[in-house]
Amino acid sequence: MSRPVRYAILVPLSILAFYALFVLPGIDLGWLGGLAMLAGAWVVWYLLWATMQESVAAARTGDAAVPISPGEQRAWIGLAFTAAILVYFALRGSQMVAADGTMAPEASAIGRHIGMLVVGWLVVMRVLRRRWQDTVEEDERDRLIQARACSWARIGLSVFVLCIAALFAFSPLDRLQWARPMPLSNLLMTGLIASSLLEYAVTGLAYWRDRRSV
Amino acid sequence: MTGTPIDNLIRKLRFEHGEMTQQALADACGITRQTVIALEAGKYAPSLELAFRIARAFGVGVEDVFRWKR
Repeated sequence: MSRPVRYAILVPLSILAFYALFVLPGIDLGWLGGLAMLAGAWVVWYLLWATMQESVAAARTGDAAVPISPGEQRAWIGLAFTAAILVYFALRGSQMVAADGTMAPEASAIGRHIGMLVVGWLVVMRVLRRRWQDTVEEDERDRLIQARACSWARIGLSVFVLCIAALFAFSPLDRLQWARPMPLSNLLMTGLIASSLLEYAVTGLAYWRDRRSV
Repeated sequence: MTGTPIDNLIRKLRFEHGEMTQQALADACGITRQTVIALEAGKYAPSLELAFRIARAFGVGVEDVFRWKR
């Protein structure tokens, strides 16, 4: 099966697996059904990962092809995981808030899921670092791209904070009923994750644009 | 990254040095192959340190590799 066809099948399946595993409200499939769902999700993610690695390996061979540098791989993987965390947080964040605006009992389960995603991210990066053992992981150009992406993220975060400050400063009190501890905590976390997402997106796009224009 | 006002002869020098691969040059200078590609395409201007390292890899002076575009 050609790589584009595999991507066309595996990308929607991966998103579906993510949705089924993390977002779908707790449907009881029994332990066997739950295990099958977990195994299926991991198989789909592994196949997508293997296809991506094939693309990277194909781009690495020969002087004519433009390789995908470790910095670029790191950026795309960071973008995928940050986007997954942000989407999950956006879909389930409201369930973390109890009726009185404090932490709901579901918050710890949601936090655990986010923790699982972060651990998955760390494992993927660890595997890649082992693979990059004998290669240069980053150089001055990577650091320049990262610095530019960081400044974009800083601008994004500053705009977000200014918007919140303006919202609190200029909104009448009766419109700020929602501003209780957990919603505020979720809002701040969303801003932080979104700024990180922006940083990875700008980094990935900078590498991609350079590769495309060669 | 946009184009730079600095031109270079890296591609020519690579071929004059036994068709040195981009990866070999990258390894010799401690940079990624993608940076060599960006340099050859004129998309990136190296730091002074990297310019010296590249020149040294070819055994020539910095001005034999890089020149200001007129």
